[in-house]
Amino acid sequence: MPSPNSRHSIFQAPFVKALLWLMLITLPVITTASLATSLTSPKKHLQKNDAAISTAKVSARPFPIRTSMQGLAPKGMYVVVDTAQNRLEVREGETIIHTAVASTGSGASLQDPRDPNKGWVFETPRGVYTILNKIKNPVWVKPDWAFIEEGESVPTKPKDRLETGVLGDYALGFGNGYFIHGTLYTRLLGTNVTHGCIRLGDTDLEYLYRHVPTGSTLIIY
Amino acid sequence: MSVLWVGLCLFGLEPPRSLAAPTPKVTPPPSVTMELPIAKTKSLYMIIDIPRKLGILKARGMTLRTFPFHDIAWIGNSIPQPSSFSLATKDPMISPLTLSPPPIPEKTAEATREEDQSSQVSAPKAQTVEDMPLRYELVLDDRMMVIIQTHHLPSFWDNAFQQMANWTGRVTANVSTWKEAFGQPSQPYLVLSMEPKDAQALYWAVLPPMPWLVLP
Repeated sequence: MPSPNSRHSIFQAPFVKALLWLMLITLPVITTASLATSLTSPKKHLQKNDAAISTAKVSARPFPIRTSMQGLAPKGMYVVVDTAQNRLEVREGETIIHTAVASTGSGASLQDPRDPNKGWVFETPRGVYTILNKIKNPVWVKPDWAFIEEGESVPTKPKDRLETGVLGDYALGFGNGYFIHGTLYTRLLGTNVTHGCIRLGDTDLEYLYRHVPTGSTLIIY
Repeated sequence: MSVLWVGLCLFGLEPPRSLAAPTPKVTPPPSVTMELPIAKTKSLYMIIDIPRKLGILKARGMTLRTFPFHDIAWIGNSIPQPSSFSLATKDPMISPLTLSPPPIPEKTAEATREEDQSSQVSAPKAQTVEDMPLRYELVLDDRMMVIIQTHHLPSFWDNAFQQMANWTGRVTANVSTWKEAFGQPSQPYLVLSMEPKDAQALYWAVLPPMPWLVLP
């Protein structure tokens, strides 16, 4: 338990005493020096202040607005796809980390011969999406249109729809059956030929698989 | 000791926050107030910034692409303040290319498997940005019309007959609206002139019901 006069004894300790004396001596010296500087160069001092005020005025207006807009921008790494140019970019903030030649939707339509009211338009969806999953060695579950397009009858058994090796080594899903995947037809990269998915070359696909985490934002325009 | 404490109070402490100068209240401009709710959605959106002669395609507040305008003109009353719209239609509407698959043959599974192995990849059919029109109209919410035209129009004599036919067709098609034509148009028309490649890219980029924000 501390003694009643322990506080008094702290201030009387030689080290603390020396520190207090040092502070007492240095404070007036620093204050005098700063005052002298401001008096010897008043113009400079004023200009500096003016600049500070004007900066404050300028930044005061857009700062909260910019902040609120910046808050909407994707956090971390994200992917941007230009369907007109068939280009894919991996970005972080405003920096482009990686670019790739892609293939996006052809925009063509296909009528279901079995049902005149049913058809498909092969467009890559546009907007803001999320990378939902990443798959290694994906297997393509061929939809009806894949058979109709080739003039084949649609199989009844699910196992007849499975096809391996056509989507490349990896696939990144972004919902509704759409994927970023590889291709066997690399000569068609850079053109609008797909059924809505985004195709990439092997190297670029591997880069995406390794570096872009699940949950990343995908913007398609 | 008291000198030390006075010194510390004078030179070592900041004034309390309540005594500091109050921060001026910031009111964002109306354009930003209108953009924020659109930017929060998962949709792409277009901003027509008339003072800067610029169309800006954005998502999440980020600029994806810009479309510089050479000229901007209003027909009828211009919009006095920032207004938001949604794109209703594009005219002409480019319909997608239709794929015609080969007919499904009536044959056995074995025969199908044999043909699969010998089948070849058909040439891809696709619409590209170069197939998009150079001149078109965009209807925004039935309240405003945006006419896009290219800066470098072809010479009249290059396709004079076709142009005259078009003109005659347009005039006769709107006989019922001639009365309106002589008066002030009921809705504002915004005419934007731009480079051909930008006009085609803009047509490609905008899809109904994309939100639009027009900043006069």
